[in-house]
Amino acid sequence: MKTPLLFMDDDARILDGIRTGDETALVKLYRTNRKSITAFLLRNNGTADDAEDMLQEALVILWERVRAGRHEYGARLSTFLFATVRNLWLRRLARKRRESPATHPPEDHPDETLSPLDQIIDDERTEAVRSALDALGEPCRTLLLLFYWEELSMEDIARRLGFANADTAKSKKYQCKKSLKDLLTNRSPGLEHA
Amino acid sequence: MNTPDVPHISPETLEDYVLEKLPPAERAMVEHHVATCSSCRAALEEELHLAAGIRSSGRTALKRRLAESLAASGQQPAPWGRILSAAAVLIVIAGIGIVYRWFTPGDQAPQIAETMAPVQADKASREMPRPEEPEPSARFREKREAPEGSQLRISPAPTPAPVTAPALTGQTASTRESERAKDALMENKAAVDAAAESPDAASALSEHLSIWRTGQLTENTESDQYELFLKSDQLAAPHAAGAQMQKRQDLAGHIQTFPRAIVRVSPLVDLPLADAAGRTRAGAHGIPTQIIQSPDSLVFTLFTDLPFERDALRNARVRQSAPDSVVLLIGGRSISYNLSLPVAR
Repeated sequence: MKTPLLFMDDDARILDGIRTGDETALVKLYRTNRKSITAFLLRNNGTADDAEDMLQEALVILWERVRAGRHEYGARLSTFLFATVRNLWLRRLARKRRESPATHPPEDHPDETLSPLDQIIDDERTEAVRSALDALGEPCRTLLLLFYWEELSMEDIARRLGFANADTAKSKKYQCKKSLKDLLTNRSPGLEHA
Repeated sequence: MNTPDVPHISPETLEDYVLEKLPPAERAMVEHHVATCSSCRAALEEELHLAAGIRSSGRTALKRRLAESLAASGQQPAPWGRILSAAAVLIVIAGIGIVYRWFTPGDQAPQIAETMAPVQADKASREMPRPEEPEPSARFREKREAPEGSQLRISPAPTPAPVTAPALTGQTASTRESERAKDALMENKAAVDAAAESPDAASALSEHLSIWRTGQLTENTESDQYELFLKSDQLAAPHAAGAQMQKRQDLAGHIQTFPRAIVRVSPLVDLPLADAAGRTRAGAHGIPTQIIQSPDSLVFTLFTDLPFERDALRNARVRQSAPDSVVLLIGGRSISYNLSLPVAR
């Protein structure tokens, strides 16, 4: 049985909001956590802008986890956000160090991480897909976002976008993906198969 | 190299693979197949890039909407606002420090030391004869991160603490030293209290005082292990009674100086690999844990996906089950750590 909102604490209320797609829940979380996150970043070679960026990144991760049903977590949301920001920031610092060969020779780098060049190529591919997705138009853009980002089932997508049934949504998804691939091929031939 | 006799992977399966919806066996099958099928490998790479780009697009859009909402509500502070806020906080902290030093007589130091004394951990320890009050801060002398295998010192040291440490010797320290030590102690206490609520403050502490251990989880342990031990002692066979009694006395010596436990939980995925790699092992019953030593507490950060009720975390207790083992009791679970404590004297 669902807990009545009246008896839910702040975290439970926010999680419930995220589950139902209410983005103002993220705004509330941002407000309550900004100061501690900023203080942490400032103490660790970051700036206030870095703090804004990291906190937004952590909020998006939380959003994705909750929406995909992967957030089963007993601690407070502020703890989760802080831990996430900390890890994101450590990764960013490590990446910065990798990009400064003068201070950190290549042999220090673990083999499994992407080289700066691979990272640039990867970023370019991602940017190309993002740009093509924007150019794709609706409803294809939303359909693909619901499928790949929100990870909704075809039944839910059909319901959300007003398709007759899951099979219709699936067929539409196939068309949309083909259009997206065509756009990518025309815009930057060879890039997606590089 | 293509494998014509094996059917290629369907686009739907590739999608499920990318979305991590495949069961492990099918996932392994896909990985095995793409290792030998170049066309399937290319299709998988394309699928991965599409998914990465689409997800990135979703994230960017969400971040943009979030930024717009914040801007609309005037939440984004101007840089001057931040600077002024920080300055105001510094002034308040400095003011409190001055007022505190000015108005607090030095001979109250022992009283504060008493309030900072470790909380008696359980009923058994309360029934024990109370020893001489230890120097509270002496338990926290090890400020640097202890390497794996080292022991977390909690019990009082036999010699007086140096002036630079936040130690209170009460009768022997000068007034100035007492005040300085008192300030340090109060700062530590404030930091630990904040750590209970703020992960930020906990992190600040962890930079100096943390160690890593893997806790061994035992389910359905509602009972007190120490009390269980006492019961087993009473039921022990006569020929073992002597050894049991000695063990019991040893154990009783340890229980007197238990700090309170502050427990926080982070998902396993957030285990900082750079920090914890090689120091902890997550297994079926192993919980990688960062243990932060603080003036009157042990702050346990458990990296696990196990669900813990907030009340259970709040009411967690720390006990010693053996001279080299500490047990964290959380609700119906107990988590054991290899954490040696010297015998209290």
